[in-house]
Amino acid sequence: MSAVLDKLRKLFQPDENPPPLPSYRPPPVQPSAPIELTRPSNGLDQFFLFLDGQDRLKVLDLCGAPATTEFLFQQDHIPRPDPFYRALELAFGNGPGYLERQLEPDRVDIFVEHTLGHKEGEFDAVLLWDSLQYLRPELLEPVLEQIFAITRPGAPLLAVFHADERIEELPVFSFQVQGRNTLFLAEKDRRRPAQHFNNRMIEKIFKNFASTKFFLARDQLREVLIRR
Amino acid sequence: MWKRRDREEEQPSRSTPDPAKENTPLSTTPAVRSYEPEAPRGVATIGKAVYIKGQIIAREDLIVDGSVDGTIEAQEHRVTIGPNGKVAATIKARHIIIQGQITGNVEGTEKVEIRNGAKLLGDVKTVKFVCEEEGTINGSVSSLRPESKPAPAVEPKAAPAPTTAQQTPNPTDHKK
Repeated sequence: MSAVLDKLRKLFQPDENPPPLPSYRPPPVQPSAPIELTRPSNGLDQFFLFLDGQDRLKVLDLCGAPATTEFLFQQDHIPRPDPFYRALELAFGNGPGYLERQLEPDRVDIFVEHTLGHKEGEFDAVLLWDSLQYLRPELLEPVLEQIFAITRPGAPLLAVFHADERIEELPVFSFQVQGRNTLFLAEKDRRRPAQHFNNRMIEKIFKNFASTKFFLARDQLREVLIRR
Repeated sequence: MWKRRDREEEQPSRSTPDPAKENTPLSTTPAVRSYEPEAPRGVATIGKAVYIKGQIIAREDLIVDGSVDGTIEAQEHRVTIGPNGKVAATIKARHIIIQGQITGNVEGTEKVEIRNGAKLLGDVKTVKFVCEEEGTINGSVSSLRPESKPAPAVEPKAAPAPTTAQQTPNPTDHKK
């Protein structure tokens, strides 16, 4: 009996010179890689349907990706890339306080005048992309008024809204048109959205425009085609 | 006497030019050769420490790596704005390559290329347009259509096909 007990003790007694345990290192926390994806876009397809049969249409592109400019040029239109996102950074900063600075009326006036200071009815179509998500209501309203003024009646506008309302920081994409219904999205930055838009709110902000049409997608992006 | 004749015969032979020496040029420096009309085209360069204010008309390819304020014309040639180039000018050329900064309108009768790091504040008119991913444009890009060729639809269908060289259409005939 005592022999059995000794064996049991030996089993549970700690070894005098135990082999060193491999030190545990938690895996390094890697920042998530920037999103890059190619996706079909029904909203873009419908947008180009409105441009069919016409050439040399002036298309304002608020993202201004070179690929989009080249594509529109090849389609015999006149792309007008606009550094909207860069202007937003210059006017209101890129840090956490950029939404608070959008409450300052002087900054808002200068931004609208310099960024969208085009002639009335100058554009036949507008690619808004996801730019509106980063504007507080105080800035969103004058921006949409100005976009309304610089587009001709009947012009199509394409906007994109993230559908996920829980997300705190949205990826800011470079939207690159690769075909009539193909988009390449490359994440450039991450930014806190000014507000989350549901369908009712989107219809409300475009109440002065003729119509809005929603396109559902498998990913978290909601495409909206608006007619001026 | 015999010796004098010999000398007289030898003299003309000395005065005749050596054919090998006659063919050798007076100077072999490249500067002299560059005057030949068949020489390959040169490239003029405005260095990064140079500032020019006024009108530049180039009859050869031009590289601008300095500062220019005015206009640049090189209708049949290529204009390259280098990475250090800062140009506040309208540019008209056959082929325009932008690597630096331009404030002004750009017209390329053949092609306009905007390379990475380039910034263009102005409108582009061209036939072929290429913009790299990191190039920036703030202005419209419209096509400069090549000179219109005589449209075949204008030709009357009933007209017989030209059989002689005299029937080839003359553009001046339409004006009469």
